[in-house]
Amino acid sequence: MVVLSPNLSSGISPQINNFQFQLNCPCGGDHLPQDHWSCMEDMPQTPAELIDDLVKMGLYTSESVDHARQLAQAELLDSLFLDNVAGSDPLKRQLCQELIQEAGGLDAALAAAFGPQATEFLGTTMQRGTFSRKQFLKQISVAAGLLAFGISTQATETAHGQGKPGGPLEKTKLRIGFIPITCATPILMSKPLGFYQKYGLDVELVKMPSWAAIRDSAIAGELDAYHMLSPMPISISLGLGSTTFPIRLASIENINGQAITVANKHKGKVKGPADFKGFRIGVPFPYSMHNLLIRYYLATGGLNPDKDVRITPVPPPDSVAKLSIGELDAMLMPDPFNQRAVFEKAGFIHMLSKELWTGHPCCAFAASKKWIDAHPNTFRAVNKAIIDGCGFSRNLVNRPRIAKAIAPRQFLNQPEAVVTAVLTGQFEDGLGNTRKDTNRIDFDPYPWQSFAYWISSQMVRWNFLPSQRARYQEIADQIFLTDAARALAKEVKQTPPNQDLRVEKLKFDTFDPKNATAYIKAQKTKYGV
Amino acid sequence: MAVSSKSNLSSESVSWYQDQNLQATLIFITSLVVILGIWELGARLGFFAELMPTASATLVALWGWISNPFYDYGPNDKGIGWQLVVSLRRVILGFTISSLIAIPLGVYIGLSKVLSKAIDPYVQLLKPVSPLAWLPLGLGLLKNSEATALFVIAITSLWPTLINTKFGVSNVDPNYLDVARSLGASRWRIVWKVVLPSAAPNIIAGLRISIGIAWLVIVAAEMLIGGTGIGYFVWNEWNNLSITSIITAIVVVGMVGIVLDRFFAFWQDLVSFGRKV
Amino acid sequence: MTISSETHTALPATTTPVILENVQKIFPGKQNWIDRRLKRSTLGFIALEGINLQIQSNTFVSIIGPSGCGKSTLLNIVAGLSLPTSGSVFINGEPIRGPGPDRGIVFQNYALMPWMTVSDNIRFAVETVHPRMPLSNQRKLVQRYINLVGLDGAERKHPHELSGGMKQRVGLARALVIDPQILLMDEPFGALDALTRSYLQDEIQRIWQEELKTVIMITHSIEEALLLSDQIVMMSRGPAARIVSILDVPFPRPRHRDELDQYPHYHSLKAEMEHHLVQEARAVEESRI
Repeated sequence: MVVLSPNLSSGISPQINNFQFQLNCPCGGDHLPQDHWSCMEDMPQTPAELIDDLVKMGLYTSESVDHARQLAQAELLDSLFLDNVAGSDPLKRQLCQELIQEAGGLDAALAAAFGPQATEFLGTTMQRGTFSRKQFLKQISVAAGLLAFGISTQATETAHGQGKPGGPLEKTKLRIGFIPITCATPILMSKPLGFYQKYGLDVELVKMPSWAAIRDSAIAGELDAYHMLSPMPISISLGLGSTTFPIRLASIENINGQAITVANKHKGKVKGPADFKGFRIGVPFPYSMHNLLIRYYLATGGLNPDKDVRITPVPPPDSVAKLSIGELDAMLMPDPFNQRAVFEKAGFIHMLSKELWTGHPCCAFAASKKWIDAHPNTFRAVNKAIIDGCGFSRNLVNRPRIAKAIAPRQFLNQPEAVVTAVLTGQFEDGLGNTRKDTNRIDFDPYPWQSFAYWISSQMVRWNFLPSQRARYQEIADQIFLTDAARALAKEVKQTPPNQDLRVEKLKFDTFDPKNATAYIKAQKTKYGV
Repeated sequence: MAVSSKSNLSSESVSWYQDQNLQATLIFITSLVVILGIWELGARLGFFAELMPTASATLVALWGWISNPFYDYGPNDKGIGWQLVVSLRRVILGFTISSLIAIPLGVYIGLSKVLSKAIDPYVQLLKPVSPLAWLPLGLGLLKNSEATALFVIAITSLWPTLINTKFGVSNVDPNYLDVARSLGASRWRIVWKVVLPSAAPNIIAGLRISIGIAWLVIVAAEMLIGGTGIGYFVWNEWNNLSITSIITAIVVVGMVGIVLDRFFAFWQDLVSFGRKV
Repeated sequence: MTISSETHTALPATTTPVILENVQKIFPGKQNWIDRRLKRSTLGFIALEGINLQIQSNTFVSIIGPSGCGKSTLLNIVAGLSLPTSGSVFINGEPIRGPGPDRGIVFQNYALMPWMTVSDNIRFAVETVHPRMPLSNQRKLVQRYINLVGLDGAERKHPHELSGGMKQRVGLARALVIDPQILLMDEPFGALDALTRSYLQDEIQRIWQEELKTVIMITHSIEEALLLSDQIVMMSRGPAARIVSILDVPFPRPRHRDELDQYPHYHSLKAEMEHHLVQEARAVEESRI
């Protein structure tokens, strides 16, 4: 049984005594725990290289290798079958076996592929002191499964936009378009807080003037990737309100993060959806969660959103101005403009969008299929960077720091106090109350396919999408790159769900994606629209 | 009989308060002060919308922008000087393109009555089209914001030059043409030596109007296309509901417009040689 | 003394550089069907009818007549800037095909190119007619004529900086610099004040004596015609203006303005011209009412 000593890089010839190590670091070498990370950084990039190095350095004797091979073979075969998600390609299996044979130290191979995780794995393993063979094998089989998955990932390069992990980036200088709203937080903060850099990317964030400009720019192929409203990849791919152009949704930027804001002149008069009758309501774009959610809300009050109110697309700053002078009665806008309206004493927050549907998607990180196909590795890297940033943003502790980083003129260009209020969820609501709701905006990159189903169903409901074109599964499957997002999330130590679909619980009803048509029917029956 | 005069004509000087330039300047300054005063009071007392800033705040912001015009904190945050430079560059390029099309075309159709009538429907149809309508068309054709901005500037600013050139060319004083013809000058010589110099003040008058339009259009175009430039600056500041910055932009845009106009007025005077266009 | 338009005895018979035979000029009206529909058609205007004229070489001929009688039209036809509707015009036996450098024109309103200096204006004529002449020669030639018309010192000025008299001298220089055989002048001194006018008339005389040419000049002034011309062609009023008579002016040269009335026939010539002009002018006024 050979366990790799992490002291390779210092060149000190380690003691390879089975199960006997000095205990300065939990792993047993006489170095500091942090050195694992710096050591791992110096590792060769592919397992094969690493194995070569190790063998050359004489750290593995041939007996060790044989020993490992024997142990591993029998158990591993089973695990591989179980864990090989990508298929049962004999070539892949053979590759896997050969690698493991050659290495004998599967963990070393994993270290090269998976970085810091492996050292933890290493650490836990060694901490046990004496290994139990079964435990080791179990861990190896898990690792092998992962490795096999990684190999199959290499083989099926662009199946779902998954480039080679560690494959060469087609381009490192990227331009990403965004709209200056807090929904874009992961995209934005990844620049000043170094997430793009971490994955070898030099990103220029291009501030776009409107969603229409984003749409046109995406269709024209002008920039590399875009911040989009989550329904937009669907609407553009299906050619609703534009030419048909395939866009893929890579990950969700934020969940929640909107609010229904009502003009101050209606203070005290608005209790429920029915009170919105006759209102002029602003939304940022027709194909947006904002539009779909406000319609959802209004319908529950018996209003027909196309007849009883006037919903118009309004650019966010205009919406605050119009609210202020009385040209808009209400709006469902992305933050920070709701909070800004309160700040400018133009309106009050009637309801946070998370109250309508906790965990609803808002904005997304998207790129055109054409671009993804042409730059699979770069896409992988940038998506990973953003997912990583998303995870970082999720953590409430980081939010004030993020607010400070993205408030300046080059990003959101909003007063820092407003942005902080939105991100930390401690805010004035314009009715004299100070509220605290830490999930006012939240960040979860996982693109549930049930989101796509709901969006499509509502688009059918409101006749944006003819029902015969609403092939829910196909839409969700093709447009939402859920698998890729899941894999990348795992790579950055997040714990994404394994399912694609779930039942969504909204405020007024429950959505089962498998019965989308019935859901729409139920809504129409209950509310008349 | 000698006529006595009240003042010695050769050294007659106007007393300072009668100097017309001084009078005009004083009136201008006084009116400006009054306007700013009304603005300041109105904003403080709440006559205007909540978002409207006071005059003093605006002046402070204006000074802030102008006193540090060339800072650079990255692509989305640059000083107003840089934004102006970017916009001017686009304007000059687009304007040059439009002039290179409009002047030769204008000469050509000015010389031929038939061509002039044939082209007229296009001119009348396309002339009044708003730049904002050309934008999506441009983006769809060219697939690139920068090229679209240039395209929009070119296509909206070429009409005044075209029309004025055509007018200047077709309205050359017939006497000049008679002189040249009577000397037996070739058509080419007549165009080059008589028609073009004669039409020069008109051509430059057209260019002068065109540059004004181009400058106007670029601000609007940049607001919709984004990226950089003074139009983008206005939009970005509007996102932050910062009206002081927008007013700053208006002042700055206006000043640049004056400079551009004066530049062409100078050239127009230079080639007029005493004629009035 | 009136001499019919057919024969001359005042000057020796030499080549006849200018001959007009039965020249008629009609300006077409708007006759197409659109105009007829819109009831704004106009009939053609007959400017000149049955013009027969022979002008001897090196003769100074004045054309005089009431306003609007087609004098300029006639001059334009001789210049080649306008084609007769019918009839023929011969220059040196050759029918006219268009304008040419053998005829120099002095315009009533100077027609100087404002963007050119005095010397450039004159050089424009030289360069057009002699494109291959070297530049220095062109310049020398131009300078000669600038001196001839008495404008030395003003070479670099632009027309808008010149007085009317100076401008007309430039026009004169420009017409003369190409050494035309025939000089056509359309009321050259009409826009000038009396003093300048007198001065320029004297200059014309002087120049004409130095460089003999055939000159056809349109004028309104009887004195001017009598001072400068060898023959005076009197035209009737338009439309369909025709030559009424051709008068010989037998005064010796050089002629002095203040001595003009001492020449024989001066008064009878003058009276005849005045009578003719007044009669025509009155008829024109009456036809207008």
